[in-house]
Amino acid sequence: MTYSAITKNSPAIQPRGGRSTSEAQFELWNSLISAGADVLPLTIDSKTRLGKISEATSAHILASATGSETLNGYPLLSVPIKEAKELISSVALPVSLRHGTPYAESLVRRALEVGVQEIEGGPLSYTLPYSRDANLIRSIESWKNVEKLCNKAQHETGLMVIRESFGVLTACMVHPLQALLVGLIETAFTLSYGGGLPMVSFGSLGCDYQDMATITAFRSLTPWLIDFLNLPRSEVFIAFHHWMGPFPTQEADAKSIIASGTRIAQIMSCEKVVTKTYEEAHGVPTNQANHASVKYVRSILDSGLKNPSSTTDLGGESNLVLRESEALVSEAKLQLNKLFSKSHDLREIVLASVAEGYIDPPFCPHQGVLKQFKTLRANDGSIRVSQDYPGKTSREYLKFEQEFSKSDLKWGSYSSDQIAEQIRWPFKSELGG
Amino acid sequence: MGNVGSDIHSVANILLEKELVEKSFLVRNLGVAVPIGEWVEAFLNFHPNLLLIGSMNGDLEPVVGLIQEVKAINSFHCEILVGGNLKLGSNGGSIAPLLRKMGVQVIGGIEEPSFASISNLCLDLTSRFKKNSFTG
Repeated sequence: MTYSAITKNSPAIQPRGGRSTSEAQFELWNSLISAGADVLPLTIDSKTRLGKISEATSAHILASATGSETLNGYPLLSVPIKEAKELISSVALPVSLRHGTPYAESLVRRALEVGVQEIEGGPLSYTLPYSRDANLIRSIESWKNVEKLCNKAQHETGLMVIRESFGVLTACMVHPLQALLVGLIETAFTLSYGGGLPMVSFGSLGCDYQDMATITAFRSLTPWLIDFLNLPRSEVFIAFHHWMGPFPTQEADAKSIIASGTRIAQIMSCEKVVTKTYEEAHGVPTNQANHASVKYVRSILDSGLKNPSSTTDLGGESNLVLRESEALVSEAKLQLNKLFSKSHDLREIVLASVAEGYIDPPFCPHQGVLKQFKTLRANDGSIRVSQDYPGKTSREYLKFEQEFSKSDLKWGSYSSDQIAEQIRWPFKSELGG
Repeated sequence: MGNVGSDIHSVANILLEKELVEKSFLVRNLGVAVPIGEWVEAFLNFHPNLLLIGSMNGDLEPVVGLIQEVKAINSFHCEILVGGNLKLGSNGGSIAPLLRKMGVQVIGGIEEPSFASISNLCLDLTSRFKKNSFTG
């Protein structure tokens, strides 16, 4: 499978969604296919994610008997293998497993067995944002085995497995540097264990030029890291997630956010855009909302917007994008050089990245992170490192970050309400707005 | 305070703790995805005056039910406030009426927006609890 074959050089559209039964999942997929989706989601329910299989199974049985939604996703380990295989083979599009499971081996084994071709997650991105106290050493071993399972599946089926990192992390005020470091370390992890074709990702930051700079930085850093660590040569795809923070309740505002993210993915030639619906603020979106939102994204992508050949074609945004991406690349290289100076064993690197504070996402629920790296939104809507919680940030980069705010960016001097306000979409930063 | 069972959404939890601490509440934050046994253990150890329970996955009922039983058995006085997403799936009904019937105050949730901000909620809590002493 190649993405260009699916998408004709436009980002592949992947919505989100998981239902309590195979019948309901099939109905959801049908509505997504008819709206123009390119990749179908198989989002796993939160009970299965946390290994509470008997609870998930009871809820699945209840849903099958009553037709009601009893789970917030598809309980892959509670559904008979034959049934799940029939579900996957009933659709022609690739299916992506989205699950948030730190110890992912058994879930991924089942997913590959039933024909899933895209596996999201990694030892950092599916442990730190998704658990309070999951053991990182156990998670690393589990994900090492996931990579080996993906490698085996590729050899057996002849089909490429996409191994997608989840740089969205906690989805709130995540600094692009954190997304870059997680994506790069997990790409290296995948390649070192032969897991498949790596795909890095991150979620819309709420600031267009910073989004574009982050994508530019990814494109520069992935080949550098592969050379630096002498890893097997590979393409590295980029997935861009629509805004993952709180959504406005008004449909027009939500659509504006969706349109902005779609245009960024297209302008920057991302391989995939992972979409949201305009019903996000009202709970789990219905099939109708999913259908309408995919159709909306498809209409934007099909509207014939010219793809700039480089960031120099971006008009007034180009200088900001270039300066931002150069600063990100320089700081990421500096931190990765330090991190990899002691070892090139990816298991040790993942552990050290958390223990030494290189990976420290804001609002992370995991007890293992140092909580020394916090962020705030600057005047122009960009996400910047808080001067009183810089984590491993170099002095030069911290100085660069402060340039974007007239007042001191210090987390400690902001109230909870002010920080909660910063978590929302900053409408003022929209492209052209 | 904390989030129940399978809920790992930490932002509101962290901001609420920050604000409560600044308002001089003595806070024991259990964090996210707190197992049911840990709620009971913490409840018995700390005898809180106020319990804030959140869930974005709608699975509040078992924890609330058990805590109410423990409260009754031990004759503890403790107010319970719950918030988050109070309905299951895209076609599930709201569990807010059930939770109210179980004797807890429902706040915040997506379909129960009782407070406009974290500071408003904390101001309300401060006015109701300022005369109480806290143990921890």
